[in-house]
Amino acid sequence: MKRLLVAIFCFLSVAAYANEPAATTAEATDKEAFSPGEMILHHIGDSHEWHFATIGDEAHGTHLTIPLPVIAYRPAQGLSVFSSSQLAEGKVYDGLKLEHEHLVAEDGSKVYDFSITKNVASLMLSAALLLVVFTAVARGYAKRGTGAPKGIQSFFEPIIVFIRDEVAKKSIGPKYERYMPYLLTVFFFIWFNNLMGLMPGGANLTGNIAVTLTLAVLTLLITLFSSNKNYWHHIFATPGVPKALLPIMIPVELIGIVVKPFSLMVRLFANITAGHIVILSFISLIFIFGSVTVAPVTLAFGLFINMLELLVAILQAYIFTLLTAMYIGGAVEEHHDADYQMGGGDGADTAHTH
Amino acid sequence: MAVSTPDPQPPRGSNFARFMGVGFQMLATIGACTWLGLWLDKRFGLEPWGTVGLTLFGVFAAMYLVIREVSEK
Repeated sequence: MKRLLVAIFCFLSVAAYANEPAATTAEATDKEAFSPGEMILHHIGDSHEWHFATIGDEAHGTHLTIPLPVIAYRPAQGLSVFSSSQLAEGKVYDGLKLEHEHLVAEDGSKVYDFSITKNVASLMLSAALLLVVFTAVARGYAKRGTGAPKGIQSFFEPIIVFIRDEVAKKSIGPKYERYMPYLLTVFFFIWFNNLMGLMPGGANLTGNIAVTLTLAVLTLLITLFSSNKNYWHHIFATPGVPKALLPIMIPVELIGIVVKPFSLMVRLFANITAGHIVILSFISLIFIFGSVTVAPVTLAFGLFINMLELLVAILQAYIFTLLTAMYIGGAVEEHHDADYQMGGGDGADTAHTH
Repeated sequence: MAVSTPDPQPPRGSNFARFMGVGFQMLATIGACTWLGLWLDKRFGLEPWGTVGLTLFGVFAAMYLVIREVSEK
């Protein structure tokens, strides 16, 4: 859909500026040709240094970057720690070099890369930010108790209460309290990192599949460890399914367990990455056409998508939290179809009102 | 719904979330099954029956899971 929009927009713009590109392509081949795909992938990917801007052209200009520590472990040579500026522009240091942001040894031996990359640095930064913000909020509660919140505490209180009342209580039920720390952490972690990713120079942390994978695996583990016997009963002896069909239904249910967190992982990754790609594509259009006349239109579109991403940032955090709560809720629920095969008991009759 | 939940109304937000999740869930189910089919074909040289069978199984599984998801409660 978004790609289609970009394609349509390209098509429409070509008609208006058809006389321009002929000159600019000849010009562009003289210099280094601008490759939007490369630029965008570089922007959304991880990196060993934190690059902010380049003044002048790519080869001779000044790069405004923050070098980050490279931590490499090789079974033969052991640990080596040095600054990523040693590897800048394809330099070789200590037998190591970067190939497309991938740390490799010159002699081709195995390298375990534990570097503080841009994403790791951003993760630490956001963890520090979350700690600072939420210890301030917690201090507010320690000081004022149930009194009126003040300052930063009054901004976060409605959000915390919303997660508790609308997400946790409704999806998990009476046992919601145990899961509140995880739900709140996940919500604020994703939200803060989505917003930090939208800032100029920010890292695309929640658009990194390893990060979303970790969050999804945590959700899976919490779901599995808090599951009760009804949950497993539902999977290995689905009520209302004939015994002969169980060999087919059990694999289907087992796939269902894995697919739920998998879809969480892909949704967050795809939404955030797509948002970044669309904004960068709009900005790239200026350089593709090599004309400043398209700038007002592309910037307006880019700004619009950027505003939309502000909404997507909180929406994706909310959806991740809500679905996590629903999966946990499904695992801890005292099931109503206890009365199908297990003969009712513990209040199943009163619960069966629908 | 659990017994001690005070309001008998169905949760407002969760339907939205449930349907939001459905699309990606179907995609993931069918995708995972297809991948497994391709892998089995390569491993055991069953071409193309592993892929065909498991893709169809994936479609079935996705449908079943979605129907169960939305008809529950």
